[in-house]
Amino acid sequence: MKLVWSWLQRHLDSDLSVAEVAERLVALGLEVDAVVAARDDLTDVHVVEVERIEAHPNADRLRLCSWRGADDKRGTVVCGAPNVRVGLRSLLAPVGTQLRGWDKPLRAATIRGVVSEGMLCSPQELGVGDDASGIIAIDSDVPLGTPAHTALGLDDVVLDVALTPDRVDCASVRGLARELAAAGCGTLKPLEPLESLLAQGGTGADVTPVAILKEAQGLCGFFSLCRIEGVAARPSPLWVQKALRACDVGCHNVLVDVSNYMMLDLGHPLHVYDAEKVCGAVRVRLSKKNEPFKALDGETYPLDAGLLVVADDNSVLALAGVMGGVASGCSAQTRDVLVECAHFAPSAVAKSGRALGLVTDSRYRFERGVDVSDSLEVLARSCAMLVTLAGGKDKGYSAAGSVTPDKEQAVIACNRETVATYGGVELEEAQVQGILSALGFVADEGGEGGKEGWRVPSWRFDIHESQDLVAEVLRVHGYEHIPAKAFAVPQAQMQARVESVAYGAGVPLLSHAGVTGLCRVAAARGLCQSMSWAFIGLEQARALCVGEPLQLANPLSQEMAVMRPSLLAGLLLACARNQKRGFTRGALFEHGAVWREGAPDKQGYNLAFVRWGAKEERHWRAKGAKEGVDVFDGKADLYQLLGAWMTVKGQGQGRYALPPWYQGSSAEAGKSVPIVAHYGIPTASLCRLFDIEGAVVMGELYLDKLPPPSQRVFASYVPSPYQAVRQDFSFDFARPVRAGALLRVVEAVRQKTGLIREVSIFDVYRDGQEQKMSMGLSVVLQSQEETLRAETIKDVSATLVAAVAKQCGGVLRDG
Amino acid sequence: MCGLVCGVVMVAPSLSDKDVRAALQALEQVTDEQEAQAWRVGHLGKKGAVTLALRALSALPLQERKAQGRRLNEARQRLDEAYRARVAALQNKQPSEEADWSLPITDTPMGSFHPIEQVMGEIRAFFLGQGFAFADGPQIEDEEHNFCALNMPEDHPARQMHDTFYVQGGTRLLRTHTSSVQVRAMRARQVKEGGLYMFSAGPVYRRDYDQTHTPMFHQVEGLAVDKALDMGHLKGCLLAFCRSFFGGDVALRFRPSFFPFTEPSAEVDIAFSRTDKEGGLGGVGGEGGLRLGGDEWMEILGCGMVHPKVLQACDIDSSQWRGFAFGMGVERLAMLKYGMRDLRMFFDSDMRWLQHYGFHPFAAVP
Repeated sequence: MKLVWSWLQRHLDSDLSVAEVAERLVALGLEVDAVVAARDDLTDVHVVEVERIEAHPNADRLRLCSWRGADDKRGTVVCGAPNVRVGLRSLLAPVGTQLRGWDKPLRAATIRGVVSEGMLCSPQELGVGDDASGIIAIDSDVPLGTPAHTALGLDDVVLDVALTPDRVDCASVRGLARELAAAGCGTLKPLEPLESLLAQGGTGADVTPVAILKEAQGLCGFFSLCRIEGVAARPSPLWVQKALRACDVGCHNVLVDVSNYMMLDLGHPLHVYDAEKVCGAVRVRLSKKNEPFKALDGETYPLDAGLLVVADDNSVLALAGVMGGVASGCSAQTRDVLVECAHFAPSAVAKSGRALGLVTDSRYRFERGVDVSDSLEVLARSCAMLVTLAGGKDKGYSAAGSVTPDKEQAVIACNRETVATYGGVELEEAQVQGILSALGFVADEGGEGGKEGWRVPSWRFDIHESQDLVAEVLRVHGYEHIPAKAFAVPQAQMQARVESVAYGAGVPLLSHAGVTGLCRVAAARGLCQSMSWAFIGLEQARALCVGEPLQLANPLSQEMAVMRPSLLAGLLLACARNQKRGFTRGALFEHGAVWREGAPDKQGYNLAFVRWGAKEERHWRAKGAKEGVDVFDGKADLYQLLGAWMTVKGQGQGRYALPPWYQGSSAEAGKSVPIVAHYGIPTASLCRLFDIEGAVVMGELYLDKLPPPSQRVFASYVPSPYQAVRQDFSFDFARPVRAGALLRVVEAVRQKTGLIREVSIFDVYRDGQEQKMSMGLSVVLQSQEETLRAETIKDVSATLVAAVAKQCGGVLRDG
Repeated sequence: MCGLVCGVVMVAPSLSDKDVRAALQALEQVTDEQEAQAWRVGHLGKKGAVTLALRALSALPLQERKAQGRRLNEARQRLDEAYRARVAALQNKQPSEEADWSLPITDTPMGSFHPIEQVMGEIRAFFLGQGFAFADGPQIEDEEHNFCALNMPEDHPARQMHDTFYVQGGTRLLRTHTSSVQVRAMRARQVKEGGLYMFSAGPVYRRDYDQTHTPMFHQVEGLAVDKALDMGHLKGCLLAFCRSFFGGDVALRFRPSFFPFTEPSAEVDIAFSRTDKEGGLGGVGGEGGLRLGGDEWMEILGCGMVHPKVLQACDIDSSQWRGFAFGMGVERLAMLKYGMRDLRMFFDSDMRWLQHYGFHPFAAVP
């Protein structure tokens, strides 16, 4: 809501400055987004009229324009604007004017041999608009010599008030003035007395019959039309245009402008029909299925059944409270008009507005609540203004329904105790009563307000409970006067609390400490944490899930159309973006929610990572700077991460059912069900889809499938005091054997003998062409009970060699 | 190099004091352990001067043998000690000048925590410390939890403030605020006699994307329900939080506002001023150029007393129980404290930005 300072002064008698009023509005809960100062730099620029136009002797496109200003002052300028014509009033910047954004004051310039004394200005040149295509045209009724800021309506301060959805009563200048007056910022001026109220009924044929059909009763409480004959649909006078422009409302002709002006002035939306285009009686009714309606925005809408409309004998005239129709709209030829002032139910207006996707000033107000009780007064004032500005004669009005609200205004209790209970402020009873009375609340029959209650004024639609009245008292009293009290959660509550809870079906409860631990491990390994959108493109999602992903009904774009089934999508997109920026090497991780199996209730929680480019940065000691990351880099990340969450035994036995987006050499972690993680190289088609180049490895942990972190329980252990012996074995195999299989054999021997403390694979060799391979195994033997004797070492070694031979076909190499 | 005999003074079979001095001088000349070893062999080894002289003692008369023996033993001890000292000195020799210790190390560079992780951690630590319990809820919600129970029935104009993403084929939606978790927590309240103190944090979604809005952002939400809470406690709680979070003597402004789920409602502004220097309100980070305190105000959060209709919708007797609630945008708090300027960069995963604004994983979340 734009609040024009001079307009406010027509309603409010106040000594306060603009800054003080702005501050007060904020304190009242009416946030002031901006205070736009008046343009005081345009005083030299003034209105002139073009008297004569001659061709420029040396340029085809330029013309010499002679102008006349106030006191018969005259001069000549060179002008190239296509819209210049004799009789046009425009704005002249005389020599010496300092224009905003110009380095130096304007000088007399010689343009192609002709001296130009000043300049006729375009909106862009004056800094009042973007239009540079022609000079500003000023209405012919603006006196010559009028300074530009007055002619353009820029001589006023405008406050941009951001209204919260509950305060529709302040969506008018009168409403804001009423609010300021109640808060002690001045006195509300009485409205000018109406010379006469309208006559109801008029004389028979002059008045259009109106009716609210039964189906629309309850949705339309009151409907009135006043007929005015013989108007002239000329442009509005300058002061009306200025006021509307300052409020960002476009100017059309006086008929439309007056209805907009009155809506901004008093808060009650109006509509004006061309009476000649209305056929027969006017009814408020519900639309029929597919009834056509061409709205004033130029669009034709086939209506749904059941929308509240205003219609004549033939067709829909207006979507009630939202927008009028083209067929009955006013034009320059309009002679007779019907002025509508009505009351439509918020739900009905909201429904039609939503159905057609139309957002209008009228809808905004009706949807939130319009005071029905002032309908006839608003109608009378609007018609009086129309007759004054457009001529014509009012022929009386016809009405249906009632200006009494269908529900009696509520009576709500509030006294100093209520204010103290919720607001924490101790006030005198008289203070509470004073504030509420000033806001228009009336103490109910009981007399004192308080327990008996307060009757809500007819213009307030946001007061339903005692707490609402507490809020009223607090905001006028001032939120700054609420004392800050020491706050502490009661001891008993703290002791009884469960530190973390997850509500809702399928929502995993994750330990913050656990997730933070994972993040620490990831970051310590050089991975940077990223955050991506939870929604990704359909094709990308399909490439990263089994089945169909969960789609949004109204996505922002195709790239944000479905809920991610995997965090890898965001990471691969980030990888591609970074590669394009020249980051040929990088590492990212992310944790967050995912939606599996395309079901809203299957909210999982993952942590994923991706590395791309060389293993190491180019560096004086780096050995891996030329080698790309490989699957073992991913495996290392994954097992270090898993180790931060739980005790991990072994490092996976190999390949099981891998998700299809990993390449063959990838592996999964954890043989047991459920599988808790995957890692590996993305398939070539996945890289193409995400537009990624070079070496990439990635992995994902399904955190909600991990066992919850538990207190670690230790088996008792005493380090052996006896000497350890390292034995190395080199096994030859006739066909390939997986390291996991070999390690499983060693583990069995360990279980059997209890003498193997450590094992590692120190060498792997595969003959390029043949199937043959060899593996070097290093084993540390140690006993808890005694120093190992040579025979024992021999026995264990023999057992191991025999087991490897039997189960893997390995032969101990000689030497 | 001198070879094995280098520095050996050939005296046999006797050993004068002069010989010992010469030997000690020779020891001073050796420059590494290998030369020292050669010196030891030459003087104290099997064929060394001292050994030979000791061997020659047997040819002497008894009295002289005793005197010479003592003298020789003393000399041997002296030389031995000198040798050990010299070797120790050589072992502890400082590195030569040529080594360049300024070469940069080759460790894996440390990764980083995202600023959102950091700030959520800071906020979480505060409220857990205050005794609030953490509660989580689904990110895909229904209209009941996201709107209706929060006093936003279908026609409520406030729903327009939440431009909502809906899931295809149903009425499920992406939660537009973490307040939905409040509803779930209140409905699930275990101990009916006791109060409820909870907070929640996580991503929320609104269908809005421009310079100052992203379709996904993060919120932290707090709720306290008990029998004797009022706006004053809310003020006290938030003041304590802001002091802790921004780490200074912050000035806050509470001004009336509107939320369908609270009444009275307030928005909270923090006092700040602009500076030429870099830094957010936390006095650290980027190019924000903000400082705590001053005469400008910036909105940081919304709050209020829980609306009685919300309590009723959660089966809590609003004549017995009252509560306060607050909610804040994590990105906004991060930007204010650490001085990032462009909201959209939070979700771009630009390595340069992450390395610049990221946090060290071990200095990070408290």
